[in-house]
Amino acid sequence: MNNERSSMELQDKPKQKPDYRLEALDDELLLYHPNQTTIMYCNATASLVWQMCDGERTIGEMIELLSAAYEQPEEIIKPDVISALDEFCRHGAVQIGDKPTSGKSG
Amino acid sequence: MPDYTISFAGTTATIDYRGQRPAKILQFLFDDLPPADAAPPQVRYQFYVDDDAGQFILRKDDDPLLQSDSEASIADTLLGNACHQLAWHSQGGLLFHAGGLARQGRGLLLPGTMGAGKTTLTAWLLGLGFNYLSDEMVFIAKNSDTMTALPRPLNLKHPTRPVLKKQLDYTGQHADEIYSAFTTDLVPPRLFNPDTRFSAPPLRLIIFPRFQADGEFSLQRLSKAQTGLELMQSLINARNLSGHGFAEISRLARQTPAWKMSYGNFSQIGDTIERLLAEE
Repeated sequence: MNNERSSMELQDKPKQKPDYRLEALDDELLLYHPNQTTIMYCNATASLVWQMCDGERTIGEMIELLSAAYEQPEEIIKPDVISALDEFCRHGAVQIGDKPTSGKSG
Repeated sequence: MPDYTISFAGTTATIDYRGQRPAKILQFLFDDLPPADAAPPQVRYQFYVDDDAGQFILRKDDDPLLQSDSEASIADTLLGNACHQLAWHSQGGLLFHAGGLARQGRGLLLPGTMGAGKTTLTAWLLGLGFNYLSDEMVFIAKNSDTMTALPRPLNLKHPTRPVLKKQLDYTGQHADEIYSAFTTDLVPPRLFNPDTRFSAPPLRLIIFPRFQADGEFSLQRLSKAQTGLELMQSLINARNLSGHGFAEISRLARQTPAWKMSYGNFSQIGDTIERLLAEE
């Protein structure tokens, strides 16, 4: 698995890769792919980020939305959003535009 | 040959044996087991003494497994291999690498990988009056919260002897009741608690132990998602389950309180576990 930080731009539009199963437990998520042996834990912020990865919304828009929702400045929210997306990329759970992401294939 | 049949976690193993010495070892290892299912075994062992060589012979599905003149070594090998085979074929529920205990009808699960300290912790809690289920494997059937376990002798590594010396006299009065192999001791649970009663309690509390010598004590309540993540790491039979048991793990995580407990010695724990279990 590639542990390097993925390069992302604020105008990128992350999209969930198919076939991930998720279990919502209170305001957190567990993500699991049937063909992989790893499971991802998502805290409340990462859960929201995951749900916004619809291929239509930019990273910048995600930061704006969460900033409004949490009533926190964008510079406070941005690192959490980027960190969550980075983790999703590391597990191969999202596609960022046309850029390949790491993680085991199915 | 007469045989012992072990049914556990949705699978069955049979041991064909011959002779008094193999019978004595099998009684030590498996006498606390509940009655077995009638299902055909997934694996079959042959266990006897070679009269000419004077050695124990252990075979699995007629292939050689071990030949030894040591009761402790053969017992340790048979127990370990049987547990591995049962786990490999286990289905119909979640099989955890975990200790299991009960107190006043409430079940306690202690999941953890090798080295986490769960067997030693299980032994210590047994000495406090908990009832023993297992030190290694606990099974929870699908859509159930009932804990079933393989009530085997505790498999304690030699470095734990100083920690448990107040409860066990390894070289004195208990010496004849313990099978001491090269690196491990097989200890009947009744030596820690003569009143222990085997049961199948409902799961009421999960504690993930983390032993670190000379470490500080800490207790952290886990969220349901964190509990699910930790439980998946202790799941042994994921490959045999639909969706690798993910939905079932999440179900247990939703309904069972869980804590992560780090400790450096037992005095740090005190009555923490008893209080947490009594509250649930």
